Amino acid sequence: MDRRTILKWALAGSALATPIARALEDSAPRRINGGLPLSNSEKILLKRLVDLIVPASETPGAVKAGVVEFIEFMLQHWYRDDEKRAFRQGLQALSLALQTQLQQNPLPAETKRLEKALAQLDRAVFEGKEAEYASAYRQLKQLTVIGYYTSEIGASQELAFHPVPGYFNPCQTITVEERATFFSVLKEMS
Amino acid sequence: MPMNTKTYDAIVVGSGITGGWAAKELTERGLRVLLLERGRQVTHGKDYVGEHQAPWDMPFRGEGDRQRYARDFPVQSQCYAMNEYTESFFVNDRQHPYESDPSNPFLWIRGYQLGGRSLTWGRQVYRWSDLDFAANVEDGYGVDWPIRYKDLAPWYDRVEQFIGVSGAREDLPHLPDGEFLPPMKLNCVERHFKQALEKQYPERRLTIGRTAILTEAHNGRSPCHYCGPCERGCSAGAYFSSLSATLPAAEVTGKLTVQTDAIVEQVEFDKTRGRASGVTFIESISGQRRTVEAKVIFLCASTLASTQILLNSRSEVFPNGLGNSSGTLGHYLMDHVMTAPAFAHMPGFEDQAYYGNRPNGFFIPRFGNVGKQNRDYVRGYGCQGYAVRMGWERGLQGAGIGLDFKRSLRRPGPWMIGFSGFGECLPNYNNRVSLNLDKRDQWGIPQLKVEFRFGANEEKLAADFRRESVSMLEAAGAKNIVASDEVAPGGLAVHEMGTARMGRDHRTSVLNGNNQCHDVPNLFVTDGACMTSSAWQNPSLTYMALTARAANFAADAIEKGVL
Repeated sequence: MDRRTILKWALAGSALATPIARALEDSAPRRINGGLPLSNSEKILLKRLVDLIVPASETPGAVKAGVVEFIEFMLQHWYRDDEKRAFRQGLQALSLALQTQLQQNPLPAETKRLEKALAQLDRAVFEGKEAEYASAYRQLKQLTVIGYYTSEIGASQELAFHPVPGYFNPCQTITVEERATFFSVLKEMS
Repeated sequence: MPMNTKTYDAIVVGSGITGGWAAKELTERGLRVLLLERGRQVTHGKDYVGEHQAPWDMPFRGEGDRQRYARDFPVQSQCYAMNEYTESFFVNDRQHPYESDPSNPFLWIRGYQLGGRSLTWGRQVYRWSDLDFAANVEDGYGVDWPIRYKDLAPWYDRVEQFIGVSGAREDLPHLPDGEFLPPMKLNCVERHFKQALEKQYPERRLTIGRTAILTEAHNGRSPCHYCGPCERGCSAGAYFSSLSATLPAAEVTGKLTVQTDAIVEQVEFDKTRGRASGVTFIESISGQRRTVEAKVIFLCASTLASTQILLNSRSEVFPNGLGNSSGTLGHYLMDHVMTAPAFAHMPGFEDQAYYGNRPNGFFIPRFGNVGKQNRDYVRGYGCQGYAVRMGWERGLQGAGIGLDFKRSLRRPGPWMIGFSGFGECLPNYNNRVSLNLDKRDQWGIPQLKVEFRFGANEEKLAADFRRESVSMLEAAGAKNIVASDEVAPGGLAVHEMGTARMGRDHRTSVLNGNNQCHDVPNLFVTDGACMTSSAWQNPSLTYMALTARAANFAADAIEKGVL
């Protein structure tokens, strides 16, 4: 069969539900102006957070892979105005939550401390914690993951990219070092 | 050559799966053919703009412009095959409106271009058997098919030999084997599933999908290179389409004239001769109407579009649509019941992976109501699916950040296995299309209104799929099984068929056993509109075989001077 069945409309409700769209459903329009560009402090916050989610390792991290620019592009073209507003407001709430936890402005916070605070918040959100920032954080994380693994760095350096494999081997033994192959599954999952 | 300086033996309306076959067969029989395509010219290779593109070269990384899709492609974008790489092969819904009940939508997936939906089709090809052709007369739903397997078998052969079908022989009476190229291979988890399934249920079978994708060079076309997303187009011609195969074959004869951007409005009827005299079409770019004549007309515009043309071909003799003396034209619309997939985690096999993107999956042929009626519904379904190792996308769900998170996504994820049911839809008079004479498109053609809903038999069939899918996955040791009896809206299987059905009796059907209109002998309909029942197999192979058979019947009749 084609990918149609499993992948396109049906993963909804599963462990693999719609990436961004699902998170958007629960974001309601609120106070903040939806207009772009993002403010400088928003951009700095994004930069710090995306590189904590997908940091540099043996390959470059999210910032270098253009994830901040990708998020700005998506906010501008993918998001509707009400969604943009909700996202920016959620981001502000996220910043405040981090500030409360760190007892300082997160922008200049020391990386280790910020990472620890973000990891706690990440766990809480995925355990179902209700918070003003929860939806925005899920969107941010999904945008970061999508933006990174569909970038040239993410797809072809961090993962193995085989646009024209040439043949099919149905079953080969792999080592624990084997990189996963990039495959575009976004549309099918939405 | 300018079109109007020539005369034609045959006009073929539509250039998709069946239009390409009609053009090929008729020109190879020496007939001069005019092929009319309502959409734009698409050149094989050159216009496959998404082929092999990397996601980072696409503005929306392959997802497409959500806001533009919501505005211009609200129906098309629900099709699994439409995305940023393939969007040029789907119609703009706003420019090509039709009516359907929003609370019970029918999704009409369309591709207006040379090659039609043969560019984006699912490529799965299965023969029918007499279990299918005799089903209506056996259980009483729908009229009897005027043909049986033996009538179509030589044409299945002919089609398979030309298009190239890879698959495994299984010797199943209800899924006849064909002329196969070497089969693609099941991956390790699929092989495990096959063994477990066939051990637990000896009467069931799991086989690799039979697909119109080449596993070795064939008729001048190259074998698959396993890039994966065929629907972006394939310059190598590894999957069958009108552009890769039938239209080039028709061109070679020197008998084919193709006119694109030509929207057929109606078939003209000559009441003194009792025959169709030609068609009137609108040049979509200039808006000019033109009429062209031929000895025979083949409607291959797709199920709903061919019926729309017939309904709109109204005359004194046929006030309710050409060839509609039976009153059945537009009725008995079907689409396969496509269930939500059942899927699960398959533990183990962590040191095993595959290389390459196999554009094909496994197939579990129908096992219910085979040989004896043993279910609480009639007819049946087959299952289509595959096993994959999860990739980076698992990072979209669940907790985790930082180096550990990144390192875990760098490795292949757990194995998932899943499959959907594709089930038979009974022919129902109330599932139908009609014209809304008060609502017209930009060319003044009345819009189509589609009324469709699945019935109780389809619901029971989907419930059976849910139960059976869980049992089959459990038999293989799968964990975290998710299954439901939810089904996709009508149209989304893109197997819409019926509305100008074949039959033995001119009082209850539109076409005879040669796809020839009972009322108008030089008019043929060979696309999905002709279907009398839906069976449970993907239908395109049967459409192609019926088209080749009808085209040769028409060519014989012209030679004999009968048409």
